[in-house]
Amino acid sequence: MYHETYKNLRGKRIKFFTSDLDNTEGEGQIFYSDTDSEYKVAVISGAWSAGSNLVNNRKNGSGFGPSTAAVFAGGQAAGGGKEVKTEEYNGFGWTTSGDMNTARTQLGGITAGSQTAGLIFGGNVPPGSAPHANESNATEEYDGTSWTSGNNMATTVTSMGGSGTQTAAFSAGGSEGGTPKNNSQEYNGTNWSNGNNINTARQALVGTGTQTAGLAVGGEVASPSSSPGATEEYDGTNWTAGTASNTGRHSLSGGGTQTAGIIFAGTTVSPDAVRDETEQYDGTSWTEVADLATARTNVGGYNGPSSSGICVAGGAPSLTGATEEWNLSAATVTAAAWASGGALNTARSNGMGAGTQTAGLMAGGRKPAAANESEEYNGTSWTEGNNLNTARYNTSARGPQTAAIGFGGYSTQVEDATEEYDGTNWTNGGDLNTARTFIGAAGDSTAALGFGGYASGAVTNVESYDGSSWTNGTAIGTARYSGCYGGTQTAAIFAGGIISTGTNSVTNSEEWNGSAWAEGNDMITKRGQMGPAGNQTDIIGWGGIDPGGPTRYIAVTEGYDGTSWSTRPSLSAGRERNTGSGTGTLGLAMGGSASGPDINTVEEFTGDTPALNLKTITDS
Amino acid sequence: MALFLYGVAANTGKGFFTAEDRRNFFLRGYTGHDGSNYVDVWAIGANERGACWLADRNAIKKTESEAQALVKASDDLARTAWDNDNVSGESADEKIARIGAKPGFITIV
Repeated sequence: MYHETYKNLRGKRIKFFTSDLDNTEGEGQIFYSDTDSEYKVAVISGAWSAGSNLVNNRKNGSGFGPSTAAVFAGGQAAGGGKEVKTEEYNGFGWTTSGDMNTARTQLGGITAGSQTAGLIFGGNVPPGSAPHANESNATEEYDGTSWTSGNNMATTVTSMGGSGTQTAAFSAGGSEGGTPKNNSQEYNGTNWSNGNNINTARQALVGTGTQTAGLAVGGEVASPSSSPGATEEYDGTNWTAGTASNTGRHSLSGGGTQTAGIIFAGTTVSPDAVRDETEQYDGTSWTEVADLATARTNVGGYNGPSSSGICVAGGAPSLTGATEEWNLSAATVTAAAWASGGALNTARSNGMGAGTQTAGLMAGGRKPAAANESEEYNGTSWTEGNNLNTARYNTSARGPQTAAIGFGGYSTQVEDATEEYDGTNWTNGGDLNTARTFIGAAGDSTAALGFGGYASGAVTNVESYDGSSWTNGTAIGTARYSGCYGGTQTAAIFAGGIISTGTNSVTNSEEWNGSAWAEGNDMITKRGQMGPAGNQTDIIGWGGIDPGGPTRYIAVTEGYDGTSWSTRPSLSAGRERNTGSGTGTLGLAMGGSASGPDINTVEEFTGDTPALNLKTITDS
Repeated sequence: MALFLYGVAANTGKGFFTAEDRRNFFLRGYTGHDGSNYVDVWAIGANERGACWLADRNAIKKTESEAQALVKASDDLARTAWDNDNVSGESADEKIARIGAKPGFITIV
């Protein structure tokens, strides 16, 4: 019926698909899904999804850049300390970058700036943790790596709304000594100059758009204290009152343009409440479109276009580092997370992990005696297989379930033994040239690489395996053991690990291209005894310990995209001496310990998952 | 308002907590000991979904101090086990490399 009606109306037939469309190319297309026996269409909708947390929780920071290359700087940490910290977001997680020159909170930023051309200005600086204790007019420019001081603002303000670019920015409103101001000023890439005042003096507002087509929204006015949600449009010379937002609030954030703006989060004065509402502006009026998962205030948030952006940190009301991503798209994104997997039959730590999330392998380990049990995972449960020939722990393995290799470790002595698994049996292979434990591993049973490890101390040894024997190769740069490892014999990665027994771990990351090791960007969190999954351009490392640090049994996960490490969602429990397998987007964490006994618990990691937002067409 | 709820419930493996659960509320697990057996101790974000999750798992509710005491008991056992795990002729450094440093005391959440 629909086929003919649609053809009569539009002159086109409805396409038949055996299964649902699954990518954004299906946007706006009406089709028939044979799987569900339904007519469907992919529609655009706006929604927030969870991203990875900041490395350092804080509020009242500022930032710039689109959701795949954003920067967050400054702010206020627990206890009121003013921050110099800068972090960058790559769409998956946060990584630390160069500190600002001046610690500050309640600063201004340019929502339309980029990760390589950013700008912050004003704010409250040390000493003193109280608001307005020491207000500043200092300006700093960011080039993607470091901050450079610029010329001071023409008028000192804090808690202002700002936007534009590094060479054409504006600041609107703000506070001086706790009093809301109607000040407006422009930056031309070198100097600030005062412009015409905004109509409504206010503080803790948000600015967005450009220097010639800007918006100032929300904020708190002084007498009587209120948040009317005032909107003003800027044409580069004058400010003109627009339509107020539906939920008047201060300490909000937002982004977009003068004709496609967005605001979210903040605090209403009456009632005094932290908000989660998101509103979009079409140049004339505001429409409420969706809610944040976590209501919060004093947020940092910034957008490129109004169709994508992030909301980060803030008070909810306690400090949070939570990140949410806004997407106005026919595609929806389900955020990455760890979930519980089927429990191992034999609880253990420091076993060999290999395979994938749905075809995994766990062998050997410590229970606390050396184990020889080998188990296979099908994505749901573990099945006991044939045992290792040599019971041992502190061993490394890689490869698929049907061509895995495990080598080194500790039995009743430090081992040089190698074993290969074909999906049924473990068979002895050629011995390592240097017996050692906690070796970094890459490849499979036909072409493997072993690097670093422990043999009466951390070592730099590298050996390659051709399916029958090991050959010494080029040493790694930093001697270490129990790092995060993966890849192939010609494209491997070794990150983090322990360099001296019980006292020091590192964040160094080294990459092997088949002929040489090169230093890459560092991990964020120092540690060893991690679980790894993935390859040189898409790997995650989780858990572990930093023997020299205050925190034991780390739950934090980090991911590497071939360029830099950034945060991922944490495990449900801190664990060390666990092992891992799978990929950077479908990982498997197996066993380990977290004080107490060796454990049999398993967790499964699923990375961000996009899907098409399909709606079924009905008669009504 | 308390930020966390505490409870004891055995981790039954696959499906015990889902990725959706992890997106909906804070969840952090610890190993505890009740004097007879090891138990799984959970600290859960105090929102409606977190509370429902604990109830659905038939968790035995604990106060923060009760939950911390269970974890402390497990820590004590782990430290004793570490003291007793020795190999003849092994140096202190070699022992740490083999089985890790002596377990510390975990502060929950």
